[in-house]
Amino acid sequence: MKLNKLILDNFRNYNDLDITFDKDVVCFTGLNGQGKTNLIEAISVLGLLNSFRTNNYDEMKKFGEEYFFISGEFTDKNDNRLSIKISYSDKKKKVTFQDKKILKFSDFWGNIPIVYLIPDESVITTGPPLERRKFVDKLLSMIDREYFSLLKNYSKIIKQKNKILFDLKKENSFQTEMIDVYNDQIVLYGSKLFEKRVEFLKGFEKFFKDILIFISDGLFGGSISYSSEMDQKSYSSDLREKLSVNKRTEVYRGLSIIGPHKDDLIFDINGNDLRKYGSKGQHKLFLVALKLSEIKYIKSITDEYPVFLLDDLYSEIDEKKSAKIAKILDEDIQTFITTSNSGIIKQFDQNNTKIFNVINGAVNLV
Amino acid sequence: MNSQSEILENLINNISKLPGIGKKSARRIAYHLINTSKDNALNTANSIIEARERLGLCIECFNLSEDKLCNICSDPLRNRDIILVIENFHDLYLFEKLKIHKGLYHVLGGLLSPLDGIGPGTLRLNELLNRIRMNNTSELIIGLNHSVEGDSTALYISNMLKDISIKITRLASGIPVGGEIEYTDEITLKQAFENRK
Ligand SMILES: Nc1ncnc2c1ncn2[C@@H]1O[C@H](COP(=O)(O)OP(=O)(O)O)[C@@H](O)[C@H]1O
Ligand SMILES: [Mg+2]
Ligand SMILES: [Zn+2]
Repeated sequence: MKLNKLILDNFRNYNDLDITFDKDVVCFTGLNGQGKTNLIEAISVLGLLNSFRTNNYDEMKKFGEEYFFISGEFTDKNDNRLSIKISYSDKKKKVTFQDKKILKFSDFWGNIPIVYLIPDESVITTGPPLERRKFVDKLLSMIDREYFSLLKNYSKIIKQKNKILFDLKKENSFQTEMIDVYNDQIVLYGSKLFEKRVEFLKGFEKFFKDILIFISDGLFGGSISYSSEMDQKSYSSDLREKLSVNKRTEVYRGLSIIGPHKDDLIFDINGNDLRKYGSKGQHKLFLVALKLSEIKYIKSITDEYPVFLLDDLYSEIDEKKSAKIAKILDEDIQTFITTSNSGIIKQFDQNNTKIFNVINGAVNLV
Repeated sequence: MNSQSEILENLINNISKLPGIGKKSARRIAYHLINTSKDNALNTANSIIEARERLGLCIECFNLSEDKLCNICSDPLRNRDIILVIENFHDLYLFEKLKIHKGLYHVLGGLLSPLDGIGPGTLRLNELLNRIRMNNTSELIIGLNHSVEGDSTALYISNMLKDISIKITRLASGIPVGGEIEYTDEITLKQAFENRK
């Protein structure tokens, strides 16, 4: 997937920007606070209809303006042109894809695959289990409709059950009829989610291992394993068992504590738990490898490379490693990079690279 | 008040309380009711009064009814051994239009959704249990949406009846996961009814 043309109208600090891209590596340089990340954000919104910065479209509207409009023209691997337009005014979002209005955002997801790596995402390797589940859930929701709908139903079931548990705790009573109703569904949907996650990991880890070894110059071997309170050889029956045994505990806590919404991924580097023992550099490299694997995995499933957005990555990565990353991104993956140090772009194939300078909402070819 | 008339504002206000009608449409409808012939407008008003005064709920199945028993429950040709459980009057209307169900109905009045404050006590579940016990019903067809709320209600009903000997079936394939009966076309609904299991 390639982005050929980007139009921004009242988006963040942009008035009216109309810019075309004809190279696979696009670099936005410039001082801080000029609007580099805003550009990456706009591209991600075109593909995901959500911003990695905020859930509130109002924040993306230029200060003091009434509306914003953004549009993108992409081409897929078969040279089909894909056009997406998003406008926002009066608190209303209007999205058209191929000039047809999108009524449900989830119907659109996956049409324009995007993978981004922004500094905030360091929580994937350093943060609580929730962040790693989000990583998997977001990726699978984008490429697997069934996973998305399983996850949506599962989350609803947990919310409903939580309300029951909360009420029972408040009333200091213990009735299980309603808990049973939701537990039955947790087993049904939960074991399917588990199966899909494990199947995903099997395919994903292959890419991951190779990439981590490659970008670390053979220094680091990594692995990813699924971690759960349930016995993974008999997940479904064990889940049923644990839900049944823990009913009182759950009522006491007023919260649903058993199920795949508590599962985690364990990241190992050279045989040690990255979260406990990893150095800062190892975390960074692990995260980069995760994202590069995401790109390869999406390609292996959908046969289309996503557009890759890299925000401020290179601030902490040395030239040798940047060269390695550039090598992986070489094959036909359109990559947008923001950096205040345009030197690192030397690592990329210069014939296929374009550098833009960003100054206060104006973008100019260097 | 900065309006043309307080009576008019009152009318608009009441119309805008109807589902799916905003202030703008309410104003349009109000103008229409005033511009149209007086007979037309009063007929509408009278229908509302008549519906509210004369329509109640059937004491057996909670369908709409002018009498204690609705047209379906008092029809001697309907099969009393089979009850089709549905969410609301509108679903009953859809099933009746298709003429595929020869038995009786039970209108629950909603689906279980603790988040919306709808628990078992809010729905007509005890009434269903009593009916099945009193009449020795032989088959219960669950005609609820395949959503989390529909599934939860179906599970609750099955658990509630587990000590009673009754055949329980559920409208099966056809209605897509997460699908609502209201949005299912007639052919799919017919298939879902025939393929129940
Ligand atoms: N809604 C908005 N309207 C106008 N300007 C904005 C808006 N949101 C952010 N900005 C401005 O954008 C700039 C930050 O842009 P950003 O892309 O994050 O900078 P960088 O070039 O460092 O990546 C700041 O100057 C900020 O004031
Ligand atoms: Mg930035
Ligand atoms: Zn009746």
